[in-house]
Amino acid sequence: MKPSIALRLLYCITILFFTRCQKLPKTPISEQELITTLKLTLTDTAAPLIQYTYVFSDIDGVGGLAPAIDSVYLLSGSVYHASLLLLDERNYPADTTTLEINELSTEHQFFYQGIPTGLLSDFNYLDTDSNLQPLGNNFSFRVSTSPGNGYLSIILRHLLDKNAPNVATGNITNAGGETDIEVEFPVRILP
Amino acid sequence: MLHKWIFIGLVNLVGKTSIAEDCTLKISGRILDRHDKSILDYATVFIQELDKGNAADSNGYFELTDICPGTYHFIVEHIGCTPDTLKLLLTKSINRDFYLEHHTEELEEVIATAKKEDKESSQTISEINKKSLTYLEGKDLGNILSTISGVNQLKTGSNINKPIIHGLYGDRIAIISSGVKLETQDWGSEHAPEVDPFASATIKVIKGVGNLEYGSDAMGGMVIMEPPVLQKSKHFNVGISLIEQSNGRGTTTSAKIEQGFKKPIAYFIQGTYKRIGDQQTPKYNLTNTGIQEGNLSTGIGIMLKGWDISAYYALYHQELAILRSAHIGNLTDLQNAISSDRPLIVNPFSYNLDNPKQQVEHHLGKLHISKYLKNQQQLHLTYSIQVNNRKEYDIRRGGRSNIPALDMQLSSNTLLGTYEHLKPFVKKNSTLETKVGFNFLSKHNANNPQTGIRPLIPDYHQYQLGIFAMEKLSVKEFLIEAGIRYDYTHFQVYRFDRQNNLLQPKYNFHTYAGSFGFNWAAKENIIQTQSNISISARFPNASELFSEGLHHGIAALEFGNANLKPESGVKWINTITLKHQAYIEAEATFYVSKIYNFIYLAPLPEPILTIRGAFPAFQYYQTNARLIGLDLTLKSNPVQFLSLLLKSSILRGRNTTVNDNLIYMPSNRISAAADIHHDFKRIKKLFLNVQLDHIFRQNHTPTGITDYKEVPKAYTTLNTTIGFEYAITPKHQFTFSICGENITNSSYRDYLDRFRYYADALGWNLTARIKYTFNN
Repeated sequence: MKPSIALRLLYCITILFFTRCQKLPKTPISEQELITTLKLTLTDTAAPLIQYTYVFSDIDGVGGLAPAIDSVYLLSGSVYHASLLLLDERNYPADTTTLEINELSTEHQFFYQGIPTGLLSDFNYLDTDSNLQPLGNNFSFRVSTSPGNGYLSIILRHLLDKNAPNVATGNITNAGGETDIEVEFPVRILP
Repeated sequence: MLHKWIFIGLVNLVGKTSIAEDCTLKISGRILDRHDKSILDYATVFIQELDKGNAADSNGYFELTDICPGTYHFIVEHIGCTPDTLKLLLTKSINRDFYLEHHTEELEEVIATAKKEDKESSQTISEINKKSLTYLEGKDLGNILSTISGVNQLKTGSNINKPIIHGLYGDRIAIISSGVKLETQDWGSEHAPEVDPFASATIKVIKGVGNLEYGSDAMGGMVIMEPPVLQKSKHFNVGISLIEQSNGRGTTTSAKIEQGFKKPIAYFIQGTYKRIGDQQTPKYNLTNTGIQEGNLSTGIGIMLKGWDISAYYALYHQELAILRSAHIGNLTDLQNAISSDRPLIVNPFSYNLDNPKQQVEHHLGKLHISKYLKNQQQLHLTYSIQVNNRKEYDIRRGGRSNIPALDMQLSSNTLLGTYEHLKPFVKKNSTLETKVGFNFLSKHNANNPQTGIRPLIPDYHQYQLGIFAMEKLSVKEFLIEAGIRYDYTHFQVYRFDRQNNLLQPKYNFHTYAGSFGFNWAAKENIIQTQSNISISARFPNASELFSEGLHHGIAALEFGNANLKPESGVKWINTITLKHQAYIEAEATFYVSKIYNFIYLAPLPEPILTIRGAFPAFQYYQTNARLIGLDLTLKSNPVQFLSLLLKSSILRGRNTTVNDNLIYMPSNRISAAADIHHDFKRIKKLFLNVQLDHIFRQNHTPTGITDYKEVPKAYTTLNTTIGFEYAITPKHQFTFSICGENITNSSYRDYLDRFRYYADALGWNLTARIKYTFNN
């Protein structure tokens, strides 16, 4: 049969097409938005020369190994100043996500909470974005006068509504936006 | 090839033509051999435009009655002859003989018509006819198919609808568009089939493994969408549709041109544009639920001395916005969203498509060559190429929202070759139809490295070679068919692990499929029984093997399982149809389906903690599953002007290994409809249709998996349509309809809607459709 040659030719062209136009992946996709590490640095306002640093880190990203979380020790009744540093530590030197947050400060805001309620109080933003609205890389809080255990929760949202009711005072309820960070440090209050 | 009784009683009961003054024309005559003028007994004559036909008696005499004046294509077929198409203008009742050609080689104008062999199959086939399609124009494939009993939808909000056939969806069902199996990213529950229903002239659902020539993995069923038949006779048809819908303030327009010439060449070209804005529930706006879509399809066919060559191309381009409030950051956000009665973000109406959104583009090109040989032998070769590009946009940090979070391109090439032979079997009127062939598929998935996000599924190459053989024996009222298929699949994956080492796992799968069944239609189709048992096989897809990442829609981490084995299924399906003249028609379909190594997603015992908070995590597992179901359809025409319809489907899905229910199984449903219709002199087929759908609560959910939110309650929706056809002249026709969906504006949520956690289903919607057709 005559057509078979034509068909065979078509088939060969097809085969060629298959193998040529697809290239293999050579380099892995570099993740641009991953945050692996949150560093929380605390200073007791009564003893401002000593800095304590606590780390929440999940080097391999979502899934895989479980994150490593430090426990935070606080003195009862003290007022602490806190500052946050976000890093992507899969690269060396590490990428500092905090720089990006500062650059696009109007799109970001941190929120804090002590669990249970009353454990930590008087959260105050110590920095602002370029519109002079709260940002929250730096903040302060007061520790309960009675010793106990609980958690310090830190949430970062992006593309949130900073003008929604109570958001400026640090209440997350109406903030909306997308969550980038939501970590809870175990807290122990020492007498 | 064609069973002699197929067309008797094919007349659509709902749209049965009445005895109005103009529509009483009759065409009668004999069907004869062109050469020796011998009688061709039991040949069939079919009027394509009316979806109506009849068989000749033993003297070759046929009769078709109740035809309105107009131009029609008559398809004449007989066992042992090549089908012929003839265009006739009917203005009065006529007596006319049709001649058919035995020797295909000599014939210039042999016409390869749409085969209606599917109508006689051992498998249960449901067809959405042309008339029903007209009144469903503008809807997506999932919505259209769900009008068939036993077919449901897996929804992700109002815009993403995946058809479920007998409880199975995704790549457990196959969608065949223009004779080519659609190759899309159908592993995703939120990936709707990328195909425009406007491009199809007919849509059918085979509730079994389907036609083995297209593959062996259609465990649930097969959807067959056919483009317009390229009629190689002189004609010129135009169709223009305009559809306006109130909910979402949407507009859909579509236009189609079909032309055939005296020389056997024909083409068509068709385009669709759709734009819908934010849709609404009875109580609130669904912010960011718009769609924009632009589709194109075109085909050309040429007939040359026993060769039939056709080419087809279809482009599907869609952008759809995803409900803003369904974009969930983590478990805390999910709990907030679920505990809220209404979506957390509700803004005023807008046509804007903001993030999160999907942008999909699908190209399908096809070249088909048929050669008609002596003695009813045919050779067919189809080459197709498909490119599917899917971009998904997220709400990203640091101004990256305009970079897609997911950008994948799936390119597929297929070559399908078949040889068909029809020969008399032992005695006259018995035929044996043989079909053998091969099918080669190559598929490549490539992730765009610019996304800056670890891909959900890896890059891969897949090569598949299938061979198949099918036999169909027709003896009087009996039809027996058997088919077998073997596939070899090579699957090569390229993925990077967490330490960014390139891993290249290879898989080789051998899968088998088969089908055996019979169809018995006795006494002019008063009773018809079909029974089919099929085995099917499906190897795990890239998502089931390797998915790794976060699904924002359900705020869950999903992990593949690289050790999965292929699934194999057995499905036994039986249908019995009873008819009593035009008064009543009852159809019952009962099926049992067992799937071994059924792949399903089950939660891991503990949520996974990440720096973004805690996430529920799921992994793919395998089990044995059993699905049992019943589909019922009851139609009745108690009086000339009234049709009644009752439909119901019942399904139970069990995980037999752990003796629990399967998740995401459609709940039982029942629907009742009444249709009043009448033909006036100029206004034809005026009808009023009222339909009540009741969806029961799904009480058979798995006890081993806790749902985030309670299973929704049962609900009822009321829908009504009024429509008519208006013919200015027999050539110029208008079809008008107004359809109200959920007209009581009731608030409800559906179990199979993945966005039921966040928002209600759509409120009332009024759709007006105008269609103009010109047929010459």
